[in-house]
Amino acid sequence: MIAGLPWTAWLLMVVTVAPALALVSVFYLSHRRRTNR
Amino acid sequence: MDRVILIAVLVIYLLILLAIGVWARRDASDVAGYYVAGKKLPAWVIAFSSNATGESAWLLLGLTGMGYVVGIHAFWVVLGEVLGVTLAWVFIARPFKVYTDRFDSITVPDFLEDRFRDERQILRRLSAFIIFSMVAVYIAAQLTAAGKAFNAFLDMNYEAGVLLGAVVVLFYTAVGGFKAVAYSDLLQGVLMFGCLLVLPIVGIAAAGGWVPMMEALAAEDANLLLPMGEFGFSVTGVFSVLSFVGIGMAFLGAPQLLVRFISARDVEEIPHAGLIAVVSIIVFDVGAVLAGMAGRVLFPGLTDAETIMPMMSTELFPALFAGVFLVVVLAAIMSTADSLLILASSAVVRDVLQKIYNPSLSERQLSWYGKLTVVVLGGAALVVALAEARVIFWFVLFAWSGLAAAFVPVVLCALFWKRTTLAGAVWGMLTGFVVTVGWVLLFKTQFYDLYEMLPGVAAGLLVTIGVSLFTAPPPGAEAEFDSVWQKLGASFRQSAPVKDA
Repeated sequence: MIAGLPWTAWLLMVVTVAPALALVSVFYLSHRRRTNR
Repeated sequence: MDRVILIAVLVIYLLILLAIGVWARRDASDVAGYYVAGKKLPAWVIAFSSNATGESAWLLLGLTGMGYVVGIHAFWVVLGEVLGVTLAWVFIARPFKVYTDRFDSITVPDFLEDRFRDERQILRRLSAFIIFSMVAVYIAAQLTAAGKAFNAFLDMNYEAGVLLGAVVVLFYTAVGGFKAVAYSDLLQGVLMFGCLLVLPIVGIAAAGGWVPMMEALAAEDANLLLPMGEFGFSVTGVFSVLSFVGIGMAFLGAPQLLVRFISARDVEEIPHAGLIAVVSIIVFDVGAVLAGMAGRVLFPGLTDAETIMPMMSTELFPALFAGVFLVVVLAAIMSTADSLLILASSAVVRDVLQKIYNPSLSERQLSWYGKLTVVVLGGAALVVALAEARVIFWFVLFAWSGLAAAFVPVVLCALFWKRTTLAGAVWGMLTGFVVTVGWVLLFKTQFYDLYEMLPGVAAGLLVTIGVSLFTAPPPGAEAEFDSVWQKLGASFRQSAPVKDA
């Protein structure tokens, strides 16, 4: 239990949010770098 | 007094929507203006518009109810939706936008016809039929939900609620076209965002804070905190997870969402819009599930879990906020219904009337036919919603998957595999659609209730690829594919020029 939840529940929440945010951030940043040139 | 405040908030909201319709009407006088707002929309508008369209009342009533009933297990739905939205913006939106700009497409069937050089217009006819048949009843179901919302919050007569909701949506959609739909979606999306940010925070605080809430849930039922829920790692559990994740696949190719990419001002808007869309879908979905979980602690033992969101808003907030929450439920309903109306209207007017029967009609005439179709279709949906509310509600998830299974395989192959052929696309679309319908009618109950979109999309992809391997791609399509991708570069490459010279 971590803060009332089993670690598997935390893992599911992280898997839900983190990869999507990472992917779209890299997409956004690489685009910005490209258009700033 | 409370009721007066509630109604006042509602009236202000409805007046704003009517004003948006009037404001947008000037741009709705030709076909491109009426159906894609002249391809001039900025990032914020397309981002919120696609999320508000994809998420209907199901998000606020259904997903909160799911969090209430199954707890953490509902996060698999969130995973599917967040992944679907992310993949759509990062990988699909840009090539789709470049292709549709090049073809001057206004609808998804426009794109498919040009991509596959479909001179006999088979894909256009098939798409128009699928869109129209799926969307017509989907709209009726949304109006039904509007009636129920009025009834739950205001104790208002169901029929009056359906009628009021329908009249407002029909007015601004018919008068203002896609621009009114998209800007009202922006307003509605922002309202949904605010609600789903505040509701879980207040709910968790009212439940005593994060840890006490989780402890209370564990005491009620330990399965509420387990990712696999009551099923554990069983076949039923895995099929349940697959079905939940599968709901998000529709974001990869449902026509009502792809139209948002077409309507963008420029391909440059897409990375910016994608970031906004992904962050907001995370807030939408995580907020809905956590609010439902908090609701389980605060109001245990509800007979209908899908009333948890109205229950929390009226019990935890003062009347003014409860009014805002009613508006948010209506916003979710209206932002989906308006987009479906305009999509169905485009299938009739652009795809059938202009492109198949009578290409000589003037832009102004076509725009009038578009408005007329919105009113006729909305009127028909209204009659269905008033006549029989309950039988049709199951159609929502069915229509969502029917549209997705018909379009996702074909759109994916069209954008990412240059060898895709016309025959492959036609048979793939037909198979995706038929398998979805067949799965619901014949097999679903025998296969652990597996959600119909998964077999539909899988069969559609297999058939599109299989038939394409045995037929020849349309002349010039492969070279065109290479030139589109050369123009774009990969999603993350830094050096590729994006704009045409």
